[in-house]
Amino acid sequence: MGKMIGYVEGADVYLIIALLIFLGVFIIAAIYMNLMSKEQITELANLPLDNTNNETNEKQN
Amino acid sequence: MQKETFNYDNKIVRNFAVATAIWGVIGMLVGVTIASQLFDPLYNFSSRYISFGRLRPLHTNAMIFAFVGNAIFMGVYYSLQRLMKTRMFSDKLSTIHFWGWQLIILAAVITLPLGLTSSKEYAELEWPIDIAIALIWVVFGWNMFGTIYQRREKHLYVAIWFYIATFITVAMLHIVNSFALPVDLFKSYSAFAGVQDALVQWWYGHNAVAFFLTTPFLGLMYYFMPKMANRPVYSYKLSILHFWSLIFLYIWAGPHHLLYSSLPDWAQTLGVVFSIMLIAPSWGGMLNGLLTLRGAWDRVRDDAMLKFMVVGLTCYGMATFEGPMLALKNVNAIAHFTDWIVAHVHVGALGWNGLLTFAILYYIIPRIYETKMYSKKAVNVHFWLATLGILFYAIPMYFSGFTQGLMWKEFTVDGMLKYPNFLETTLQILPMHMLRAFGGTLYLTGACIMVWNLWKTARTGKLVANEAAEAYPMVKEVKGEVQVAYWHRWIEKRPTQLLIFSFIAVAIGGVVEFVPAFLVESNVKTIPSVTPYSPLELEGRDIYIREGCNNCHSQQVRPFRSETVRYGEYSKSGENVYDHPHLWGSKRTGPDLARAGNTASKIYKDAGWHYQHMKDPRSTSEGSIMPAYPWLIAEDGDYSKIEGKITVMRKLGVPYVENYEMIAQEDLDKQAEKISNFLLKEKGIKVAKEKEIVALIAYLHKLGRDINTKEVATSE
Ligand code: HEC
Repeated sequence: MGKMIGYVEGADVYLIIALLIFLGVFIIAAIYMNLMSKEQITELANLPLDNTNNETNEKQN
Repeated sequence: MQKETFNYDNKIVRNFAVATAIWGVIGMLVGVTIASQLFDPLYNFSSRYISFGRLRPLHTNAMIFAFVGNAIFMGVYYSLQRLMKTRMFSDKLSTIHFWGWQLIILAAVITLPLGLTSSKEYAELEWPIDIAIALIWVVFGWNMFGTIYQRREKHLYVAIWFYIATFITVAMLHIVNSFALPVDLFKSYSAFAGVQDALVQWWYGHNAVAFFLTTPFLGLMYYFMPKMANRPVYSYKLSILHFWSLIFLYIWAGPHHLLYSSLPDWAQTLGVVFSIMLIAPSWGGMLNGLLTLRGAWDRVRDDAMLKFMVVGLTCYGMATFEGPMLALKNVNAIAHFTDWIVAHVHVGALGWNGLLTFAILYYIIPRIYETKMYSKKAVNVHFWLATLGILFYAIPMYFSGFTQGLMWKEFTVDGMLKYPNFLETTLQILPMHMLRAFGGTLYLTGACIMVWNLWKTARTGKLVANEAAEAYPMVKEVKGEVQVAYWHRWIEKRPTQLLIFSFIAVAIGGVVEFVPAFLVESNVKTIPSVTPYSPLELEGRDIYIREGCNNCHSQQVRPFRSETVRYGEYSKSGENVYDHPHLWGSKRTGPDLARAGNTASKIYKDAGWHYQHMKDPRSTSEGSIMPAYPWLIAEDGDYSKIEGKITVMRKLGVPYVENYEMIAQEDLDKQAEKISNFLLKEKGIKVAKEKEIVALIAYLHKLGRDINTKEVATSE
């Protein structure tokens, strides 16, 4: 069946390449993430919250 | 250092909020209308402009690009200014963006009911509107990057990463999928044909879900969830991993819309594997959002806004678990083409996009109007109506989907199809369709209450069009020590890098899938007996596109016994090489039509039957929910553009002989006359050859004819 629907010789290689590229992206992202210090993480995570100028609005709801 | 003072532009946020609410209600109203047509077609009130095939694209476009689109811009304009501690880059660009987008939607509202459509799902708008979309999208990006470059905050919070990835990916998807050659201002043919067109279309279609309905909303979730809960996101590290994995994996998953089709196997496998891997980042993101509420769950009880967020995220979790399951080949074999898929997308659209949008509206409006919500009770009522609406929508549709999937495949002990008449399976699910329309009505009612409540809220307050703010200017980094210490923080501060890397991440998937599919000859096996459409058939095909028949009928027989017995030989990629665009469809509200012209197929009907059926489907198929098309019988076709159409098709590679366009009209007349004569002589039906029905019949009889295995001579 596979042959009849149109099968390219050796195309499975695309799947393997794709998975390897993803593995690369994932590992780089993981390393990158782990190199960040706790303070940096906290600082970044708090970016949306440190909105001093919005103080008055904050309290209302 | 001195703090600088500046203003946030709340007016543009308010404008997008109003547009979100209005288009949302309109889009849902259209949704309830077409839902009603699916248990009684009379709800189209015999008007061609609101017939199902024309109205469904309006519904999907309105929900995706008008409701969700405006919601994205509302949320982005609100959060971006505050995260970057600056006003939007240019008020002028904001205004152009706002009005440009509304005009595009208006153009959709006018052209789609008129039947001006490219037929490509979620990209139906014709080429001039496509160009306008691209331009306005660039204005949005320009304004966003301008704002980012003039920021006072060094770091780019993860929400902005999602916005940037959204911008660049949507631009890429839209431009590539819209490649087409125009015939005139209102008509164009896709540059791609058949299986390649399908691949590009679903690479686009799937990633419209990913990068229009998901990534921008994840960005909004990462901003508004912490704001509403008043605590930082559960894990910022997780959000980084979430971002890169999600954008990288999503782009590959498109082919899961084409399982068991004539798309090459390797591409289907890629789609399956990446879809399954997508569970990880999707659930990572959902948990990250929900866990942000750790220690604040008591507030969820009293704060309806947080309830919307929690149920919205839960729906996201359900839809992103279900998606990969649907991508498994054995599940897909049953679920594809059925109402199950419709249930699936609505859990995502009503649950995730809808509920988050409502929460954000309830957050923003009282703040920019410096007041409180007019009625907290009404917010609660809205929450329950929306939640019940989703349940009443989804549960019947799942049930309907299973029913269709199983009935289509069921054989008797003697090896015959248990339900050889497709109509039986349709009649079985009508009660489910009624319940679904009820669910939709509940959801719409909730939205109307919200509009009223927001309106009242705005009336009690006053818009703070320019909200005063202050912040320290951004310090320029000195080269040297700072950079060494923070070398690995580079991307948080470099929007351009982020843009480039996101683009690379999303481009890889497209390139790996497209290049072989387009270059390797053997991917599309040509079939010598398959010939281009005759002029009359081509015109008939354009009528099929105009009426949006592809919104109910597929043209792709999958290689299962249940389908080959019902419809005939399964579809091969070589059959569609002249199909600009492909018309495979994605849903079988009616039977597959790929073999409608193949006399060996059980689905084959003669011209007389088609005439009666198109005039009044219930006359041939009692209880059918297919709309009637009396105007095809009453009106003459406008074939004045046939010359141009043939020329464009030839430019796209369809092998019409040289100068064929000169005699196209003549050929068209000849073929039409043959059909008209057949109807008169054999069936006693008097139809002038100029009528549109004649062209449509010619087209239906072309479908699958070229691979006719039983050479029965029939005169149309
Ligand atoms: C609302 C969904 C819907 C739309 C839109 C729709 N159909 Fe149908 N169609 C059906 C259903 C349901 C059936 C099965 C019952 C019947 O025969 O009417 C059907 C049956 C058919 C059949 C008969 C197939 C067979 O041999 O049993 C043909 C041919 C057909 N439709 C053509 C069209 C064309 C052409 C258009 C566009 C002009 C169209 N349909 C639009 C739902 C739809």
